[in-house]
Amino acid sequence: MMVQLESGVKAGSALNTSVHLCWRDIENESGEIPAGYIAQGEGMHITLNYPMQFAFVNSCFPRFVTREGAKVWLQKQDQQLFAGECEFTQHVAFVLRHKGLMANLSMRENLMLPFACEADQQKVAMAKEKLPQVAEFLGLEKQLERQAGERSPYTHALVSLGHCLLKQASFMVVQEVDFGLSSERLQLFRDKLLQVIQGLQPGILYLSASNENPFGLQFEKHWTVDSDQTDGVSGIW
Amino acid sequence: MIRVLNISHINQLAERLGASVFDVWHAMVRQLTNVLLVFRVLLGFQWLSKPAVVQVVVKQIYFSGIMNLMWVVILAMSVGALMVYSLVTFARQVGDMSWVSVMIHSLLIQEVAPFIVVLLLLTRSGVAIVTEIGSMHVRGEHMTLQSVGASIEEFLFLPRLIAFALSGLILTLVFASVSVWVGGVIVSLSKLMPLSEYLFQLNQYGGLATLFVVLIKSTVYPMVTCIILLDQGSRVGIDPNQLPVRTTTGVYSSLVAVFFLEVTWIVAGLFV
Repeated sequence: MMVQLESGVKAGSALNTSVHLCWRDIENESGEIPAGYIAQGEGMHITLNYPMQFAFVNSCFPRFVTREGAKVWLQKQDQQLFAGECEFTQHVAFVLRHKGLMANLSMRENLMLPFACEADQQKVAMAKEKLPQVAEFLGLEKQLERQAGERSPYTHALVSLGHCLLKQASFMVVQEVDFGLSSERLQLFRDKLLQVIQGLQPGILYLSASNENPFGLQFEKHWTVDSDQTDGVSGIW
Repeated sequence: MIRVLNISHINQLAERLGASVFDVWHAMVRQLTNVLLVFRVLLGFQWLSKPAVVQVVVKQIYFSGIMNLMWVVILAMSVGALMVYSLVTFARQVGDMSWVSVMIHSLLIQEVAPFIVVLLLLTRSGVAIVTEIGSMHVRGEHMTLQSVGASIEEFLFLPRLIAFALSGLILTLVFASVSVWVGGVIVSLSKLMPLSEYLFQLNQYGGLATLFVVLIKSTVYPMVTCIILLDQGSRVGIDPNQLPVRTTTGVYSSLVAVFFLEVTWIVAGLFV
């Protein structure tokens, strides 16, 4: 069950498959996402409507972290890292539609955002060292000192990808990031995403309202979550 | 028919009243939760080792404290001159100059100074808090922060709460000092009372008790308003139309809360 790229390259070979991203049943008004898991290097595409995508994503950011109440967690052999804990977000990167950056920060500060609340200064220094290289890869090197302001979904997605690269994430939760991108930018982002996947070989959980394979990624696991509501179309919420 | 209408009218009123009670209850629970979460972060002291959080704290103190300083000084000069002049004139008419000290301590320093400072904080920095937090919610930036593992309480709430408490304390002390001294200078220049006598009278009352009251009021009032404003900002959700609604509600609710605290303080003072 590995992520298969369109070109036939398989990401995820020789991986530490003892790390799993797991979740319990997640319910909201419109339906229920059944419990499941993916291992590092594996890919899974869940087709579900927009409110349920956010129900899943919100379960990854609980306000109160409790062992019993946690709906999403990372299983590392005997160790469990629960959603909401710092260690969890160090391993799991989120690429959410139009939610990658903060308007009142510069692009540099935005790329360094995962390290904003990092107490370990060694990690911060390492990320700062890698930053120019990552910015160049993303094509943002000339905009680093500019205030982000209002940006396109493409730039939001690029910055999220930058977070993923800087923290060397083991898992990526991608939420309909292809939505609203022009075909040209879709291609640009696809190329960068594929390079990141080949480089990091993370586990990928792709949440979208469409059954189409996003970015030409072919996931072996594909679930469709039925909803009670009719507004399953993206963007209508 | 008239009787039926009356009953339905009463039912509607009862429903509205019940809904309002529930709203207030929910708001109190939300705000108490915010307070507990922020204090957990504050007392954990881990935020001190995070330069980004410390940077936000410094920026917020600059915005709420330093940038308000000029307005506090101008208001303190005007209020001090007017109040002290009126109080000294009143004391002379009564024929008991000890009134000057009592009134300056119990009215100007303990009541007026914390109240005007909290009003200034509320109208300038408070409105900014609601609109800033609200705009962040509209743009989904709270989710961006959470997605990178940054805690909302640590990154957004704590710096603003610290800034409000510290600015409240420092600005109140500045207000009290400036108003008392400017008042003294004005009454001595207008030959109502020599400055030496004014200072002598001032030392006859107050002391540690005044300092204690000022310390409590100047930190607690701004913190309570800040918690209410942060809550209102968070309630904007994804609807930009809620920004002005929440800002107005935040300012009104904060004013009501300050009045309520003031009344509680006075009532508590009657029993202590």
